[in-house]
Amino acid sequence: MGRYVLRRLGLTAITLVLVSFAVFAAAQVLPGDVGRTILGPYASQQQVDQLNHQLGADEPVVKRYVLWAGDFVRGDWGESPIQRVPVRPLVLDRLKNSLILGAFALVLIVPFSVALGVFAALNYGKALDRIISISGLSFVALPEFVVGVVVIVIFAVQLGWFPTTSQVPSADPVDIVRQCLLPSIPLMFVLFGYISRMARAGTIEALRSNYTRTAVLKGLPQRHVIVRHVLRNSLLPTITVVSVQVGYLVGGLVVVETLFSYPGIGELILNAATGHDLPTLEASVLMIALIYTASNLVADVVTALLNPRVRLAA
Amino acid sequence: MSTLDEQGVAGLPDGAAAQVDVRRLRRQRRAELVSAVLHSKTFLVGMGILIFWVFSALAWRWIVRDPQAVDPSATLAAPSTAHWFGTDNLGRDVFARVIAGSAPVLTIAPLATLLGITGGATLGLVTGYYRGWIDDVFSRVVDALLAFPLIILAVLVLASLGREPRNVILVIGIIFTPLIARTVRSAVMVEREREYVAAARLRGERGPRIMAVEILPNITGPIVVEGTIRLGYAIFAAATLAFLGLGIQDPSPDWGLAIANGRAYLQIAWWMVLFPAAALATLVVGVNLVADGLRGAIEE
Repeated sequence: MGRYVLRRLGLTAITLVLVSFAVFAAAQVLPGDVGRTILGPYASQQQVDQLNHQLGADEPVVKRYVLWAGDFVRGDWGESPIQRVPVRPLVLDRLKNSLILGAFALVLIVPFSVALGVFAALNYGKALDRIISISGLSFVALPEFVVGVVVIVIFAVQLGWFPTTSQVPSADPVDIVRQCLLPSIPLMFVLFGYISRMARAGTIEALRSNYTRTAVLKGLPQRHVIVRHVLRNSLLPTITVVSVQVGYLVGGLVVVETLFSYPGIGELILNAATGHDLPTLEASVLMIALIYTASNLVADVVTALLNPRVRLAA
Repeated sequence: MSTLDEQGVAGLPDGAAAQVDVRRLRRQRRAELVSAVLHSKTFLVGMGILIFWVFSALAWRWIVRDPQAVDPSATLAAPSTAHWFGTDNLGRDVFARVIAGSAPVLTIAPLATLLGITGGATLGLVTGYYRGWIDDVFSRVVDALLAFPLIILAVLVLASLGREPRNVILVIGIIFTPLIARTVRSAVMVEREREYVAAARLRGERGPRIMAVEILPNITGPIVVEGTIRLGYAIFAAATLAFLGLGIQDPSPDWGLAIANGRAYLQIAWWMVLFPAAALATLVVGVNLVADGLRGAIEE
């Protein structure tokens, strides 16, 4: 088990180095003049060159990458040339805001989706199963901003139960629901589709297996068969799906935070990308890659702990 | 075709008989497939929706009034008999704009999907057939790509390259390429172990010919299903990018853009966002129903 975790840690580190280089390259090599963006179209070329030199934007890419990566690891993430503030507190604060929203959505929707997915599988082929499957399929397809504007129009504009834009909630549970519920509904739609589909497929497979048949044939009560034999096996793939969805969640946050003007990391990335705020962009995208790979690592380790086949194969 | 058959009969009568059988079998299987698809309610409902929007995208010029016509005396008017879906902040007819708004998304999404399918099928055939180091490199690259929220990748590229529709098509198509290639690759890996591929190899056919003439016709099913699913994602992606201000720009009647513009008027003119949102929702759900119906029919 220790060796398996170590191996996965090594692979994660390699992925992160590759991703960090890709992030850096994507932000720096693609056309777009940093100095020109900051100074605007009326500045002279000389002024632009001077600013670029000051920012180090005229050095070779590899050198800049090594400098940047070294600083990043040491905790110096630079200063945003657009917002004129240090990048690290900015990114970490936005990240915290997004985590509140993302965690809120996950906590509400994961148990619900798993329960409905398993329920659909236990009623395989019946009308209920069809309804759950088709709605899951349709929910996944809906872009977040479509669901988002519909819930805003109904619950914020017409009924007035929620604000049309969301702020960071205080610690008060009522305020958390008030600020987070509407923006997390579009995310929950998509998550419900994926997670319930996976839970359903896993349960159907486990129900058809030989060990389930053996358990039924040796006369175990149905409840016991489902809880001890079916669910333990069927929910394993669901863990992986939930961790992969963390990556999706970040993409969804870009859209939802923009729609609700919520100060999260998705909105920060969009503004940094369109405003050519490179230090902010690089740091925030790298943080997202870090979270995504970490959540995959956790999912793999949990799967290995629960499934001896994975553990022993490594 | 008939000359080929006669040659076959003259040269190898047994083989020719087998060939005719195979052909009849294939025709029969195709007929079964068509009937299964046409009996799938999911497919028919989805197809109905899709046909409606494709028709709108092609014929909006002749069925609705000018979507760009401004009426300053009737800005932000609520839905009425004069304007079924109301008017926007410039007094443009929302109904006309919703119908005409199907055109930009149904141009960008299919072109992006086509690009992704062409690249993905080629890449999938090569990596799945040859395996080896090409395949290893490819798998690592796909894993790294998937470690990244794809919408952020698109945002990065479009913010740097510019927001023309051409770039939107390129970005979506290029991001789709490795994803489609993975599906095609796994189908190719099953097919390459079949006897007909071994036979072709023994006949001395070369790799590219085996891939294009032998394997490709046998994996059209999975490719069609993958293409339909991807079309749904492409519509999703193109609309989202337009909403974020990175895709189609004003004064296009595009739905994503219309929703972004209508956000400022949410409190007073819900019809500016709700109708384009409903249109987009029906289109993506329709495409997904078609994909699901096709998959069900092909897998059975």
